[in-house]
Amino acid sequence: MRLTTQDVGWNRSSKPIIEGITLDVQPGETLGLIGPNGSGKSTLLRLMAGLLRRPRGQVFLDGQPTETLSRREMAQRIAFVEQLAETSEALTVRDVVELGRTPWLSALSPFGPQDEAIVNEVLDAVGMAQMIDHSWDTLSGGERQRVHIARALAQRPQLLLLDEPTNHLDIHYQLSLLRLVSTLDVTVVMALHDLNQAMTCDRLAVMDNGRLIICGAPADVLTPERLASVFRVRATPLHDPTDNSTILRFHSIEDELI
Amino acid sequence: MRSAAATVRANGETARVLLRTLLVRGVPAVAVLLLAIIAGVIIGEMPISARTVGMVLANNLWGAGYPVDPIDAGIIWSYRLPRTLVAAACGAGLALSGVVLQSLVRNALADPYLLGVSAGASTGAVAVTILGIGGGMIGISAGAFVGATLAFVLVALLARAAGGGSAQLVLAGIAGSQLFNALTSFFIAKSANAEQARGIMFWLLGNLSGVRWPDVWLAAPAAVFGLLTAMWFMRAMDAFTFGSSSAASLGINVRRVQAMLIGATTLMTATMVSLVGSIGFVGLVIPHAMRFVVGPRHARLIPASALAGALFLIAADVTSRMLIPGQVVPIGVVTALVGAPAFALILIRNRKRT
Repeated sequence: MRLTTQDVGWNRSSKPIIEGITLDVQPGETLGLIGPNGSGKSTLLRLMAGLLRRPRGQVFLDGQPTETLSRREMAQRIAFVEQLAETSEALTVRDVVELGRTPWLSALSPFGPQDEAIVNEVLDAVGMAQMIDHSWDTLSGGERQRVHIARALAQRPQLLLLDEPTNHLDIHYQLSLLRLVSTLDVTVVMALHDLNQAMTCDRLAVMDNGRLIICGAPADVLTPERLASVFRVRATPLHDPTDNSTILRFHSIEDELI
Repeated sequence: MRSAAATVRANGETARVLLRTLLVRGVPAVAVLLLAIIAGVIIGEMPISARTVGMVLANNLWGAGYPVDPIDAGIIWSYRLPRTLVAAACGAGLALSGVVLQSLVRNALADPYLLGVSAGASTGAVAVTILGIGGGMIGISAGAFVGATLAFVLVALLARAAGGGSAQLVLAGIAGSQLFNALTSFFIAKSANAEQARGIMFWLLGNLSGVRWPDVWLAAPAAVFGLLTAMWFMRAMDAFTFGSSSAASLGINVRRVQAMLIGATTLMTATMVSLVGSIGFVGLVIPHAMRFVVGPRHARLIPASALAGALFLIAADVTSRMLIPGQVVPIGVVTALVGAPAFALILIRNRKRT
C-alpha cells in the first residue's frame, strides 16, 4: 500500500509539534523514521494512523484521502504498534492477539475458525506460539512487544506503523524482529533509535524539531555532517568484512571539544 | 481476504456455536436467576411455604384459581415478588455499570458509586422530591438522570484538569461524591420537614421497602437495556484494554462508543438510584469477583456480572430483611458490610501488581 502525506502538521495547544511534512512511501517499502528525542517521530506516526485530532494537510492511502475512511476501514488497512501499551487485566497472549481481529468482526460475523488460524499464524511468525496461554503479567518486556506486533499483524494490514519496536528487546529479538519486518509483504514505517539498525531500512526519513530534514537511501542520508548537525555525534564508518557492510561508531561531540 | 462462500459457511458454523453457547450457558443462567427470585420470595420474616408461593404465582400468572390465604397472596404478589425483581434488576444494572466504567476508564476502582454518579443521581432525585420539580416516578428518575449526568461530566472534567490519570479520576470521583452528598444534605436541611428528612435519609442508604409493581416496569427494562447495550459493544470494550488510542487503532470509534456506553450506564444508575437509593460497592465488587471466575473478556464478563449482581442483591435484600428481627436494615448497609472489605482486598491486590 502506498502512503502519501501532503504537507501534514499538528499542534498541541497551538504549539506546532510537527510541521509541513510531505512524504511518499512506496508499496512494500520499509521506511525508517529517525531523529533525536522530541523530534516528532511518534507524532508523525500517530498522524499517519489517523489517531490525532484536527491534523493539518492530507494523508492518502493508495491515493485515497484517509478522512474519507471510517475508523474501521482505517484499521483494516493500517496497524499501529505504540510504545509501552500496557494493561493490568489478566489477559492471555491469545486474548491480546485476538484483539487484532477486531476491525474484521461484527455482531453478524463473529470470531470464527479463519480468525483463529490467523491468530496462530502470526504467533508463529513472532515466535510466541508456544506461549499462547501465558498470562500478560508473566511476560517480559520483549515478549509483550512481540505479542503487540503479532496483534498488529493479526489485523492483516497493508501498512504497518511501528513506534520504536526494538525497545525492550534483547539483541537477539531486535535482530529477529527487524528481519521479520523486512520479510513482510506490507509497507512499513517505523521509528528507530539505533542508527545502525536504521541502515537496514530501504529508505530513511530524518526528523528534527518537528520537520522533515531529508528522505533517501541510508548511505546518502547518514552523512558525517548530518550526524553532527542533527544527532550531535561524530561518526566513524567501519567496514565489516563478514558481509561487506558499513557500520557506524559514534563519538560524543563534546569529547572532542576538550 | 476471505471468500464470500467461506464467510457464509463460517457464519453458519459460528451461528451454531453461538446457539449452543446460548443454550448451554444462557438456559442455566436464567434457571438460576428464577430459582433465586423464588427463594427471595419464600424467605422472609413471615415464613411462607414454597407450595403457597407456587400456588400464588400460578394464580396470578395464569389464573389457576388455587385457594390461598389472601394475606399470604398479598405479601407474595404485591410485596415480596416486586421487591425481589427490583433487587435483581438493580443488582444486574449496578454490576453492569461497574463493568462498563472499569473498561472505559481502565481503572479497577471505577464504579458509579465511587465516581460520584450515584451521589449525583441522589441529589437529582432529592431535588425533584423536595423541591417538587416534575413529580411522579418518571419525574424523580429524570431528575436522577440529570443529576447523574452532571456529576459524571463534572468528575470527568476535574480528572482531566488534574492531569487525566487513573488516580486523578478516583480522587475527582471522591470530590464529586462529597460535593453532591453535601448538596443533597443542603436540600434536605433547607426544604424538607422532619418526616420527609427521615424518609429520604433512609432511602439514601438504599431501601427496597417501598418497592411495588410500577417500579419493576422501570427497573427491569433499564437492566435489560443496559445488558443489551453492553453486549453489543463487548468487542469495543475488549479493545479498550490497552487504552483508548489503541482502541482507535483497532477501528473503534472511541467517542461514539464512550458516549453510548456512558449514557447507558448513567441511565441505568439513575433509574436504580431513583427507585431504591444509592447502593454502594455492587458495581465495584461483582465485576472483580467475576474476573476471577470467567476472566477479563467481556463476552463472558458482561453476562456473568449481570447474573452475579442480580443474585448478590437478592441475597443482600433477604439478609437486610432477616438481620434484625422486626426491622429492615437498609440494603446499602448490607452491601457495604460485604463491599468495604472486598474493596480493601482489591486495593491490596492492585498494589502488589504495580
